[in-house]
Amino acid sequence: MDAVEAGDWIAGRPLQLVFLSGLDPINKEHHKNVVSVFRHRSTEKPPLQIRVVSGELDIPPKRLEKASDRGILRRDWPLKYLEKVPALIVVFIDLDWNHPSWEEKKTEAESKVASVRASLRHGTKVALVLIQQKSTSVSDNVAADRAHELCQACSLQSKQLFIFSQESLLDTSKLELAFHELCQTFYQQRLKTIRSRSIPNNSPALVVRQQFKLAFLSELRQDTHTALRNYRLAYDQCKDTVEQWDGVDVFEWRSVVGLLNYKMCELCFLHSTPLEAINQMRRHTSIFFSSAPGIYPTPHLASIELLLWKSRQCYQFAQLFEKSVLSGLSALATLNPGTHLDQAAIIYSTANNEIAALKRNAPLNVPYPTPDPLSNSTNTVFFGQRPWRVNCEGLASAEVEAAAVTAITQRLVVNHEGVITLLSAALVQYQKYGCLRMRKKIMMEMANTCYANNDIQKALRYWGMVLKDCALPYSIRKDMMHRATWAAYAIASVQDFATCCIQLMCPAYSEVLPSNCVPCFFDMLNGIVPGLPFPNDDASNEQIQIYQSKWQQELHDGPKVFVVQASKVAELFLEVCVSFLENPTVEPNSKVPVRIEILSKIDTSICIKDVVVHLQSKKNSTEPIQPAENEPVIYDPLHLGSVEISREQPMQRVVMLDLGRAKQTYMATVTKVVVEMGKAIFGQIEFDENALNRNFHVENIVGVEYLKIGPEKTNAKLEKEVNIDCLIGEVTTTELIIRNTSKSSFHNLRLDFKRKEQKHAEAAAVLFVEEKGTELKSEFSFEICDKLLADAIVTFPLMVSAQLIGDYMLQLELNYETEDANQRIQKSSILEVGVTAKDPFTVTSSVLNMNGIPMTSMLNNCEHILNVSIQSTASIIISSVEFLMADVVTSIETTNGGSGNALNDDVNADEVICYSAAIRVLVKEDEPETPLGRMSVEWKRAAPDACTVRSVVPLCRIPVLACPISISSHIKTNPAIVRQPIEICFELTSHLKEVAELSINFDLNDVFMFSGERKVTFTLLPLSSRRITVVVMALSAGRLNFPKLSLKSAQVADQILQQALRTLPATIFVLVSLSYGGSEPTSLNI
Amino acid sequence: MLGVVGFFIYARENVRLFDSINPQYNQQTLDIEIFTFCSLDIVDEKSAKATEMFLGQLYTDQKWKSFGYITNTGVRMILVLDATSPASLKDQEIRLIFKRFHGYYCNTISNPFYQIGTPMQSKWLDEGIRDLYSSNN
Repeated sequence: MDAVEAGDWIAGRPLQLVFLSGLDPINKEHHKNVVSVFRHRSTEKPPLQIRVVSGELDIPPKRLEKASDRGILRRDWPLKYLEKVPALIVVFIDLDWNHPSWEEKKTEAESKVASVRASLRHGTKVALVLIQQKSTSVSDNVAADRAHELCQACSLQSKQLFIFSQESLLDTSKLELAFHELCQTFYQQRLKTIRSRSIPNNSPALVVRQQFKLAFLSELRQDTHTALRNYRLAYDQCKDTVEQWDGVDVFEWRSVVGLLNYKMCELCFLHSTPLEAINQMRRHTSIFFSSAPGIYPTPHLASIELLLWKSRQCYQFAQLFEKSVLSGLSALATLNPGTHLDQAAIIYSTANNEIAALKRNAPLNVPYPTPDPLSNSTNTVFFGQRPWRVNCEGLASAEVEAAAVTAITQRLVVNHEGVITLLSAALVQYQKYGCLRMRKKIMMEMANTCYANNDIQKALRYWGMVLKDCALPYSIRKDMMHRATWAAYAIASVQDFATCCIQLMCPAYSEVLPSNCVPCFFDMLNGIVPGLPFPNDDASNEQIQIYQSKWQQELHDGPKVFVVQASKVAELFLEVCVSFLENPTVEPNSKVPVRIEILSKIDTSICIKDVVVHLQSKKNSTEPIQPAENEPVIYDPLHLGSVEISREQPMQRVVMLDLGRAKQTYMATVTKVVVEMGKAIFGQIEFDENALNRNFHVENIVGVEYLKIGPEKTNAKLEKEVNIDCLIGEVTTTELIIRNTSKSSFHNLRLDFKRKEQKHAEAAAVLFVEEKGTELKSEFSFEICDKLLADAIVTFPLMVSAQLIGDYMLQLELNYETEDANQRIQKSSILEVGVTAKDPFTVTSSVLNMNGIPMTSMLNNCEHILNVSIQSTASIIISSVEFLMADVVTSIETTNGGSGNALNDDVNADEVICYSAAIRVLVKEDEPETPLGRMSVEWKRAAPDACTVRSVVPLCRIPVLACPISISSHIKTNPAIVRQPIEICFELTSHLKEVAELSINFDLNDVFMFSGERKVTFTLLPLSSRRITVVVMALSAGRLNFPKLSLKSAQVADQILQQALRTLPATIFVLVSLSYGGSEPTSLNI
Repeated sequence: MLGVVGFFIYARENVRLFDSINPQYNQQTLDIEIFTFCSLDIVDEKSAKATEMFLGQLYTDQKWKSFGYITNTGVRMILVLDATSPASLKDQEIRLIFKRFHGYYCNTISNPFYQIGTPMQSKWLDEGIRDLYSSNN
């Protein structure tokens, strides 16, 4: 009945058949190796199917066409080329070129080839392979001659003779490629032969057959694109002639079309054109799925056969699709194998319905016909051929046809399992591609199929799973609920019927699906047989009797219980709202009121036997915690007793809960509310956390849904908020006033500062000075007093020194003991002290040259001025500064190294004070930046009793440029007086490791008269100095430009020399006369 | 026969705002409902990558085919057509239907008494549906 299966060959890709002859793997070891090498196939190797043959070749002769062969495609034709007719026969012979009996061996080879050739049909190619001990070199003339001789003798072309050396046994790739080439030639010849056959009257069957053969041989030739074209031509031929199909041959045509469609889709997927495959399947569906089923063998059977064929087509396509997905194709929600499996299942389900209808109408007590007309079903000649019509011209005899109809009818079975298998496969696919709604649809279909299969429990389970979804439209839900309720009623399942009833009692259902569920439910609870759930539905009296007797039996059998999990149904006629009438955070050990409200959506009042409220507290933490710490505190369930409720009369209760063992950071929640009801049948509706407060807006809930258990309220507080405003490093004293706000005394008060328990990192760096102590400590513990009476205060001086800037809180832990029933209880509370710490001053340092010009870089070996500006943030007194120079920096001032002691400089807030030092840098290696060192500043607040603080601040970092020639000047005449000779000495020092040629040129200036050599050229030895003295006479007094000179050297770049010259003073101050400037006149060079 | 089977509007969270099934197909309401429900899966998938409001064909089976449209605010519209109908609507015509209903939707939500997210009852949509089904015959 099913579409005829093509056979196993359709599953794999067709391979070129090659026979190996002349090998004796059993007796000869090297032959065995040859066989094993050839038999080892992989995807990289040519697509050959290699078989070792021995003895007589069994190649089928050419078949003569008979007039009685009416059919489209022979079932065994593809097998002919896959298993029987080889494309190539390879004859193996052990023969070396220098074999002593060459002639005899040659004759043997000739006879072997001739024997093989004699048994060949269909133009199979022959090749000869000589297995030799050693490999032959290319230049071996003897070998070439003998090879030619052998080819002549065996009538083979040179490309059909191969040498296979035992030394290169493993390398068969070249040989296999050569075999593949010969096979290609064979299939090409076969294609030509088949293409040249004329088709009388363009018979559709013959055209399809020819195109199929061409396509299949093209596949064997590995030309899949041509194969696809030929399959498509065959398919189009079927499509174009669908109207001409003989009514009795429709099944056969359909089988062929199915086969062609399968091959086309397979090749499309192979060519990585999945969209083409999907489109082909769509085309196939639109053309052939809607075609008329025909009337043979009977209209009903033809219709069933068409449905089964359609289902099979969808299934096969889904299989191909899935195979392609497994090979790397990415499918989508819109395009995935699931839709086709779903389609197959739906069609199969329809077929099942039709089969069931056929079975119902089939005459009973008709024996199965003998002989069996379907016995040949696996041995038919053509695809889709009717087994009882094998070897028949047209229809079989009327008796045989009638017997066939009877046999088919009797063999047909309703196969719900098949549908469920298809649906399960579709379900997996939809799950994979995230099609949640389609998944639900499949579950609905599974439920319907299970129901049809009389597996009602399973059906009810599936319905329950789908009905759980609130997003499902009521129109769909209504239908399922209707079926499920009937099913539960029919099998008298208390649990399922109660589940359905409590859902149907919702007003939303009662509007779209009127039912008698309320009285039914109450009757059931009271042990009375419930009436029909839907009285308007047609049900025969016999059926009603059966159902009611089942219920009678069920209720009579003993106590029954049902438990409904409210979270597993979308809605039900009761709603439970729970809340805590408290602040969101409560203290441990407190008693909290819990509010429970139960609303009914039905007018009829219902008697609830008991309401049990389950509560628990558990650790509320996102951090990983030890399991032992995570032990929830489960409270004893609260029983609210019996109550009667209705729509008008909801139940509202408030009960007190003692939080008891729940600790700080725990969270108290209502975990479950169980509503118990029923007399004869005991029912429980469990509202777990997901079902509680489900349909209530947060703003409509009185109180809070859960309670956080916070810290215990402390009774020891700071009298007023304390905020310490301090400078970094200074010790600030603040007075803390602690008040006992409780009604009892505190004992043994102790204040601790624990670095590790601070919220702020800056707070952890604060240092403390203990009372009368001189040491700075990172932690402290101080006994404040032994007893603090109720409402009394205690004062405590806190001395802190902040080390990091910012606004932060110090958390001080106050530990004390309280008396409770003659027992001391240790308690602690946190006191928070605010700190605002800032830097005492900001320091900026810069480097100037000797003329007071700021520099972005320094010259090595030259003198500079380091200028440090201190901007104070508060009123301070700087008592001393000290330059802590880096190793490479030398202070030129030799008296106290640039440091100043006992300065007593008053600096107000936001004022700036500068300190300078003359320095010289001596760097040996090139570095991008050189740190100049640090500066130590001793300061104190401008307030009485302030302590001195020593702050060390870093100086700037500055790049140091190399200066191979340094130059300095010295005015020997002191003071410089107008119209008097002034002797100036220039000293040039070389820092080079080589000799430097230098020439100095003095620039004449209008304000000076000059005496000496204007241009001096000299050689400066490595690391040596040279002094050049010139005498000038100033023509006017005052601040004059310093006599200029220019330097040139072949060894040093001009730019560097220019930089060196900038270290010279820019001006010279010349006095009018010796007596003008006072008693001790000096010349100044600034 | 253009084979218009029904028109559905869903809010961004797939809450149904409007539904209408051609009275000719009243016998198959359940099938159409399930089919439309499944089409929402494809809307969800396509909406993430949509470059225009019209989503094209969503889903098809032996009986029905659905087309989708998603507005800038995420409101989804689904048009269900009869897959077996001999005459079918062209792509441009389907786009026009959606565009027209988008306008009707905007008119409907412009009603100050309409509460966003609740089922829609408006003369605009009713007239639109009447026109749609009348052109069907």
